[in-house]
Amino acid sequence: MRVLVRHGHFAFFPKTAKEVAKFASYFDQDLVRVDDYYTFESLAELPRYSIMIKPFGNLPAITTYEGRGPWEVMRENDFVYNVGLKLLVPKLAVVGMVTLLRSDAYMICPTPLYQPGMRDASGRQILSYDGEYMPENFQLKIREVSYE
Amino acid sequence: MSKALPASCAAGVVLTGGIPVPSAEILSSGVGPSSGVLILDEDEAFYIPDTTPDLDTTLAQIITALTQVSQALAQTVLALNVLDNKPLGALPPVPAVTANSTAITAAAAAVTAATAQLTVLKAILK
Repeated sequence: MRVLVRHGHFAFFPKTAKEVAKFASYFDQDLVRVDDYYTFESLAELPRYSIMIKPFGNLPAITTYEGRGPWEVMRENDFVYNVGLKLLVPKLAVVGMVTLLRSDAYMICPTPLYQPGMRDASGRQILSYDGEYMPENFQLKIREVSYE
Repeated sequence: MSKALPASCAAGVVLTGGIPVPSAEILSSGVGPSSGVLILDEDEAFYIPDTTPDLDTTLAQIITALTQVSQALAQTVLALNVLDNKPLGALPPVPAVTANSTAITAAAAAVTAATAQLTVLKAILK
């Protein structure tokens, strides 16, 4: 299942419905279909705009912005989705570091999901990535990462 | 792609969902209170008021003024006809000026009042 994280927003592109069910069961989080992708419940409800101080998800927005999707609004507000808390958090509130292991065309993530905002070996926050979740071994293979 | 939200504006402050949007550019005079639409486009925000009430009031005042002008002109014609029809003879003619000029003066006053109301409206355009 493809995992596309854009500015801290998760989008999943399963090949089969079974992948969605297994993922939801493993992470104890339901996935909701939005357009051509699945995402976490609280992300599915986000609008593609924010008004400064008006709640955007669970946080007051820090800027007024309209984007092509909620991920662009999250970028402008410096928010990322916290998988553990199931909430939006300021990106600077995410601490921790994960070392991605290079393997052929992929980078192997030691955890099944990479929490956006975690820092790589260079100390920079990875906020976007494109990868493949392998349900058979609960492994995440990341093709590329971005720091914005 | 942009997003339109219902909004209002009072004293130059744009509100949407009760939340002020100070970054919104008001595309009108923005003096009088109004309701309208907030357009968001990336980091830009524009407020467009519904100016139909302004237009409605303006047209109503203009119609009132024109009606009064029309009535005044009709009264003037009537007065001129009265002068033409004055009886000749030894007896003094019946006074006709007051009756006609009162109606003409009243119409002129109504036109002046409509002008004043339009001047006020101009100062508080939405």
